Order: sequence, then C-alpha cells, then structure tokens
Amino acid sequence: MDLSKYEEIFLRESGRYLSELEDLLIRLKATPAKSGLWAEVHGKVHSIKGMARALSLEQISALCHRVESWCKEFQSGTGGEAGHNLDTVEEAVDLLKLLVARRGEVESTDTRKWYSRLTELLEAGPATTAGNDGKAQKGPLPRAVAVKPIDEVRVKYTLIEELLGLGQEIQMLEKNRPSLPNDETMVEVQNWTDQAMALMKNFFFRLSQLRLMPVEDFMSMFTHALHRFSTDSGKKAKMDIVGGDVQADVTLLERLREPFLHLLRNCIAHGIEGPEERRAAGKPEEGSICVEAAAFKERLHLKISDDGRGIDPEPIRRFLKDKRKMDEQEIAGLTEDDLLRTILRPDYTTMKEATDIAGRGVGMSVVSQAIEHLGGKMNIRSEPGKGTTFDIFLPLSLSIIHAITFRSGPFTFSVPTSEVASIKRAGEMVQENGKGVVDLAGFIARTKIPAMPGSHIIELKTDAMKAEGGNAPTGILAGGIVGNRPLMVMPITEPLSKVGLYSGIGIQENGDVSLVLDVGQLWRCQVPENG
Amino acid sequence: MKLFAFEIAGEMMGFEAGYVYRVLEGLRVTPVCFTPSGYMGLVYHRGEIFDVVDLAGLLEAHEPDAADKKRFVIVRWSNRKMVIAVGTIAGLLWLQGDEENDTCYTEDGRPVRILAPDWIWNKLTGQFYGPVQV
Repeated sequence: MDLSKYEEIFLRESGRYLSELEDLLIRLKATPAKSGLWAEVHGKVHSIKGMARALSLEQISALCHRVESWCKEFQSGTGGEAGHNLDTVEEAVDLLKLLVARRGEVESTDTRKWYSRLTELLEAGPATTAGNDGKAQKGPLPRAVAVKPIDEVRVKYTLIEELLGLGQEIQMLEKNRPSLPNDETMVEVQNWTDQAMALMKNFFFRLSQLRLMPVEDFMSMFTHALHRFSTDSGKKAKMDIVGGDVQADVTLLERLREPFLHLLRNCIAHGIEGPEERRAAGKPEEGSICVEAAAFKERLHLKISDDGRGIDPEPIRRFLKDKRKMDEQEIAGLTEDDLLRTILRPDYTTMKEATDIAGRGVGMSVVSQAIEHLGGKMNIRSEPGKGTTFDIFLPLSLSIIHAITFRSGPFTFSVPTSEVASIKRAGEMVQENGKGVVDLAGFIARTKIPAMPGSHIIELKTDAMKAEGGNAPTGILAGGIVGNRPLMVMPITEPLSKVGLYSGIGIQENGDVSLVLDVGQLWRCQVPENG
Repeated sequence: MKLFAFEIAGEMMGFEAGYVYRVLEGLRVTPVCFTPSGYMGLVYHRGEIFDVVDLAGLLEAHEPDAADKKRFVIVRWSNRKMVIAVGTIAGLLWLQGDEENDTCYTEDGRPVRILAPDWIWNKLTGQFYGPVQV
C-alpha cells in the first residue's frame, strides 16, 4: 500500500477539519451549550482520529480520543457548563495542528510537556465550575500557540493563464532562433540557449498542471452550504467523498459550482428525509450524500447519490398527464430513464410553494442545461425509499497520465503505461495463435515482424484489449521509444474523434504532441490471418 | 466586406477578416495517422489544440510546392476553431460582396473566392477518417 499517498490525503483532510474546528469553536464561544455544535466538533475530531489510526499516528489518535470524550459529555449535557472548558478544547485543537504538521512527531521537550499536560487535563474530564478568571479550575497553563507553516498560497487563476500564455510565447522563440556560426564562443552560446529552452519547456509543463484541482478540494467548498441547507430544513446530512484525488481542470469545476449547489440543495429538499421519517424507515437519523469521482479515458464521472426517499414516480406521471397531456398508455410506455428525466424539464415542479432551499421548479433543469453546455450528460437512477443517484459524465479538458510515447514512421503515439505489459525488441517477438502486432505507420497489420534496428514491440495487457472476434492485436510495432513519461492529455478534436482509435491528445514536457491510443479499439486494425 | 485574402494554387481566396484570430509562422504541425489529405495535423498553441487544415489538399487544388505552407491562420467562429495552412497571404482587402455570393472581384477584376469557415469545417469533417486495411 502506498502510504505516502494516504499521508498526503491525511494532511490535506486534517488541515481542512482543523480549520473548520476553529470556526466551530468560535461559534461555540457565543453559544457554548448548543449540543449540535458539539456534535459537529465531535464528528471532525473523530474523522481525524480515524485517519491518524490508519497511519499509526498514535499520539494524534490518543489526543483526539480524549477530546471526543469531552464532546460526548457536552453533547449529552453531563459535562456541566461548557463555556469555561472551551479554552482546553481550543488548546487541544492548537496542539493537533502542530502534531498533524509534524506527522504526529512529538519532537521537542516543550511539545512533549505540552502534550503530557494537556492529555492529563483532558483525562480528568471537564471542569464543573469556573475559576476566578472565568476559566476552568483545572484550566490550562500558559500554552504555546501553533501557527501552521506556510506551504500554500492563493493565486488568482487569471494569473496562471497569463503565465501559461507567456510561457508559450517563450517557447515560440525557439522556432525563430537564429542559427549561430560554428566557432568556439558560439557553441557555448548555443549550449546555453539549448539548456535554457529545455528548462523552459519543463517549466511550462509544470505550470500547465496548475490548471488542475483535486475534486476533493472542489467538493469541500460545499461543506458549509450542505450544513446550512440541512439545518435550515431541520434535517441532518453528511457528505462523503470517494476518489477525491482525481484531478480536473479548474475551469470545468468552476462551471460546475452553481449546478452542484442546485443538486445538493435538491438532495436535501427532496431526497433526504427528516430525522423522524428516517427513524421510522429504519435509517440512521443523519442522511448521507456520497460524491464519487473517477476519470475514465478523457471523461470525468461524478456520481452523486443520497440515501433518501428516492423519486416518487407518481407526481411525475400526474405532471405528464395534466401538464403534458400524455395518455396513460404513452406514460406506461416510457422507460424508467425517460420518466425520471421529466424532472429536468424547466416547467416541472412538485412543490406547491417555494422555500429558500428549493421549490422554484428551475433547479434540475438548470443543472441539466449547464451539464449539456459543458458537453456532458447526466443520468438519473432512483429507487423509492432507498435513494437517488445522479451520474454526471463530463469531458476532462485536461488530465495527466503516465504513458509510453513512441514513434511509428512520421507519427507519434502514446499508450497509457497502465495498459502496457512489456516492451521488447522486435526481433524477440514470438507470435502465438495467429495474433499479431499492429503497425500503425504502414496501416498494415502484420503477424511476422522483421527485426528492424531500433524497432520495438509494445505488448499490451490482455485486459486492455476488448477483442472483437478474438482477433485483436496483442501489441504495437514502435519504430522508436521516446520514453515513459507524464503526459498532459487534452480531449480529442471533432475530426479526430472520427478515426475511432484515439482517446486523447497528449502534450509532452517539451511541448511535442502525440496521439493517445485507445487500445480497446485497436481491433479496428484487424490482423489478417496470413499476415 | 473586409476579406483576409490568400492564394492557393494560384487562385485568390479569402474569408471575412473578423474570423481571423492570429497569423503565425513556423508552427510545428504534428501529422496524424488515418486522416484524409485535407487534414494536415495538430498544433499546440498557447495551451490549446488546433486541427490544421491543408486548404489546397481539401480543395484538391494542385500546389507545386507544398513546403511553402509556412503561414498558419488561426480562425475562430461560433464555438469552433481551426488553423488553416496557407502559402501566400495577399493581405486585407475591402471588397463588395458577402458570404452568400461565393465570389467577389478586386479593383483590377481579379476574382476572389469567398470561403466560409463553416463550409471548410463541414468539408473537413465530412471526409473518411480511420484505418483502411491494406
């Protein structure tokens, strides 16, 4: 298991939870007896504990555990007056911030003392009365204040775009570089400019990646909105994110902001039931909204599902009958998908009056139109009593993959590394069962590969090939291997989508372009039986 | 109308200057396998990918020296974009005419064929793309 990736998620997530905890503690200072806020503090501390345990960060999980015990007491009202104990909880959050930043290491003597004193204080339980200064009697000693090291800065996206433009202009200079005379001084100048251009290309490639944003960061923007929607409607709901490390172009995500807000609003207003209704249905009081993100080829798949009451088909049928003047037979003939898609109509609403949360009857049609405008599509699945799932498929305007890039005649192609089994010299290739190797440059599928100098066979993984008639090529003939490198992938253009063999357009670190092969479609270059 | 005019195989052609976004020289065009003759390849410019149209190839006009196609015109219209590779650029011409009439004339009577970007695009995408078994 790659712990470093998990550690990265832990740092990011814990940082977010700790920042939210600070906000919650400020709100608790105004209303210390509000048990709902303590429940939120509890939930966030619990999440940090869970992640810390998974990474064996015992010091963090132990501290979280003690804070949780305090939260439970204040939630149930057995902890006495919460107000004068808040400083201790606040101090624990400060210490957690320090420990998270140091990956749980209690390095210095001062930190060790701080940790021991605070854990003892928490172990003793909340103080029941305030001291003379208004703080708890067992209250904290003077404490160190942890300030998070600066590891991130906010940058306007327009600045990144401007830098990308400038970077490209500098690359263009290379094309117009004057040829230099071949004397000793000029050779040095030539070497110097070559090196400068190589660095510039690498710089530009890295700069391009600033356009990418983890889906998780995008979703975390909605945590507060979800909380507000649910509390305003007297409901409880939490949001889980799966596959949040998938990265998408920030311009795409920005355009999804409003539609997503509409979707969440609708999940709370129409999907998630009130606590009593949920209890009666045998569900936990707190509703659950799960957002799953996955990238497949050049498409981003976002699945938003809730465990609410689902979509009742009856009001939809009534709407189709009354407003759309459809007869019973026509309605009965609709597929489930067609029936559910009715809710995407601009004139569809089931609510008699609009609230702040939903009911104006425009939400879902706005979502649908926005997704279509982005070149995507949305499918709806719903099961009454169990919940609703919205599947959104969007074009990824930019993504980064690792790929084997190779030349074949005048053409440059890339194959995702994950779909390559091995690379062999052409002469070592052994043919089996009449299956062959495709030579893209010659438009010819061959079963016998001559041992040309420098040529290689890129053998594909069997699960990467969706063989039609069992005659798909097992490999690709490469005239020369460029390398196994990260590749920035952009969507295929309209004319090239007609070729049917390409899944994207790759941009290499040096700005060179390659065509990313959809290996599942290589059967289109059928191998003749007799080569 | 204000026309951006150029020559293809000795014939004067042009399109409305408003569609021209930029004219560039020395772009490196990446050739693409399994495309028709009018499709020259791809260019990556300022973070964007463009299809490059070889207009002479698309119009099946015989150009004696294809290596002359050193100028690239970025054309943007509606929600589309493409790069058109041309040889000699005649410049901007102010001529009587519109896109409905496909030819107008210069002051000295030379005909200029007016091309609409949509027409070029439809002709480009209407061709066969894909592997052909040999």
